[in-house]
Amino acid sequence: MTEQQDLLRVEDLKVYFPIRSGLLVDRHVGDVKAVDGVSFSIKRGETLGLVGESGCGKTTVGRTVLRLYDPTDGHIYFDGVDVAGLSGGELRKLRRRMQMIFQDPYSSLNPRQSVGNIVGEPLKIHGSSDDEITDKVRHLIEVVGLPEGAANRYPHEFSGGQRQRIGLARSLAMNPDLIVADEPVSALDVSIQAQIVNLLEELQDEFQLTYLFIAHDLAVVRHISDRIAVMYLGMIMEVAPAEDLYDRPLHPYTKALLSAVPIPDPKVERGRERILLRGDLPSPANPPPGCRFHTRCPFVQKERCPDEVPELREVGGHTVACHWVEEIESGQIQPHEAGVPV
Amino acid sequence: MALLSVRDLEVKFFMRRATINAVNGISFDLDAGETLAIVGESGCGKSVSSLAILGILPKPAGKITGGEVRFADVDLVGLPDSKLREIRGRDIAMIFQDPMTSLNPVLRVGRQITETLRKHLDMGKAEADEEARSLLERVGIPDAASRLRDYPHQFSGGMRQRVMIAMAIACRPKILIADEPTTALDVTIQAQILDLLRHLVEEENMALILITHDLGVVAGICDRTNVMYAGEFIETAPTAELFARPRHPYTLGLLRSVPRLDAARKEKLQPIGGTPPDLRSRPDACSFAPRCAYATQESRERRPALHQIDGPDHFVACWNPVPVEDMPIQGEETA
Repeated sequence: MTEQQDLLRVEDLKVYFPIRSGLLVDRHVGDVKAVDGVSFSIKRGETLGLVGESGCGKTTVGRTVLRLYDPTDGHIYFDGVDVAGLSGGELRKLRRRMQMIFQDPYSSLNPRQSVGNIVGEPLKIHGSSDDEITDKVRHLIEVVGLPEGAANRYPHEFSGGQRQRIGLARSLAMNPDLIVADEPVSALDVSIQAQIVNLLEELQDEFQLTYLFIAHDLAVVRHISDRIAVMYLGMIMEVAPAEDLYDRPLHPYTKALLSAVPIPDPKVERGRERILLRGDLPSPANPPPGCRFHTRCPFVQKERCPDEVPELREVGGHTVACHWVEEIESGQIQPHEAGVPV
Repeated sequence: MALLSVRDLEVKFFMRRATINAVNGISFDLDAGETLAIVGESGCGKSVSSLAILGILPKPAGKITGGEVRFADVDLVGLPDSKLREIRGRDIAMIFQDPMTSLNPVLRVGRQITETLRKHLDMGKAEADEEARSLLERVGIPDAASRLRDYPHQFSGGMRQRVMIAMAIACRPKILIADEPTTALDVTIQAQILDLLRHLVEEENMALILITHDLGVVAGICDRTNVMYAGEFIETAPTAELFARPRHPYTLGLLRSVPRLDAARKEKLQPIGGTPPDLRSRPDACSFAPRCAYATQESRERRPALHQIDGPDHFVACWNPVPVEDMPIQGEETA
């Protein structure tokens, strides 16, 4: 694969949020290392799923790609241009080619604007004429499957699933190349989730979209993604093609995460072997040294894990950040039995 | 005789402009040590049912308008508040989805646990403190003795839910109602909490009513599953039977619309078309008919009642149940 095919390439991205303290003097006392050295790339037309538990930094990655947050360090190449260094007009020009869909269809739409205005606003800002806007809005509303006449109604008249369709119509208005979808279906009921997931797939084919799909629901992510990146405490633990990641997870965290997802089938569910992780997610303000996951890892070793940060490296078609992946795969290292609280 | 027996329970919300038919005649029995699931999507009435059982419906709008809730031969409906308060917490306890809003933020968790113990079990301070410590240990909170002096905000989400469970089981209730206990938690923490609930049911012979929208959670833990739609149970069966042979089109629709981690990837998910019904009106018809591919003329004209189908324990409310050839095939073959 040549680099030209990468629509988005993120290199060693770091996003730190300062912790400030003091009543009169504003002192910088530390950083929440939300994203701490993340690299990945997405090819044109591809869907990359970004999964992880709350607080792992996946949303921050998505927002920083669109420059809604400023990166502390690192590069974000969008179609060859480093977004991290842009500002003002240049950034705005590039930004219309990347759009975002949000998790909460209730708070991401202005309740005082008609659907037509919401969907048409990006067009207006970028200088289309009124007639063009009306035409385009009508077309978009049809494309996302909203009822005719929706343009004159207001967000509160629509259900959660339909509002998510409004958000989608808005994000498509500028004919973007990249859409960052941050938990787009997790606020919806299961019967409606499937409608939106299918719509996202249809739109991708129709408009040649590239998706960065951020979610915590692993089954949905697997369904929609071509490749998946697993994050833990601001770092990527494993990247692999979607099917392969589920068939053969290599990183201990990926294994645990997948084994924790319940499967809606009593026969399968009750016979499964589950890797229960110890304890909670450590604080990203004070992450453990060495491998971020070593404090909860069932395969943790005394050597290397506590003091050496594992590099992402190629192992059997996956990219994995674990010192002992070969030994774990060959069975030389067995999971520890003890230490599971219950 | 069943521990808890709910018959034709009906709950309405009387709002200024409309009346909402939240629960429309549900019935079930619960035995000691049994785990019962109520599954449904938001607004189907599953949470309201549990609030009604405990007599804590939002006042003054919510009212039980019919049916009975028999616990230990006493009908809880219409029981005075003072009597209900004795039962709540001691015999029937509840845990909620969001542990942060259900704990008092300005009281130390130790105090919140001992409060129940001292009120219901007449324990002295020292005895209650000791019991609270052992409860926190029981639910897997490390360093229990010192954590008793912490406030709720000092706990993580998963740990807070453990505190809630400790409070709920403090008086060794016979029934625990868990309303979406893991929905706000990450999957790895969810696995820990479900494991804990499973152990408690086994060891204490407690009955558990689990209210959830997640079919995966149900599959792992529940003996019997009730599927709720528009305030009614539309299908009820032993969990294994329900997942293997769902006869109501809505149950089948729910199972088909979620992608499964263990099955081969499908080209398309099969969503349920349309949107859930408006609970203000209650037409004499199957409430699922407008979204249903199997609906017949009868579905649109008469309301179906639960009736037995297949096995002795399998009931469905449908005029035209899903034919056997449309059943999902289990496990590997789901591909």
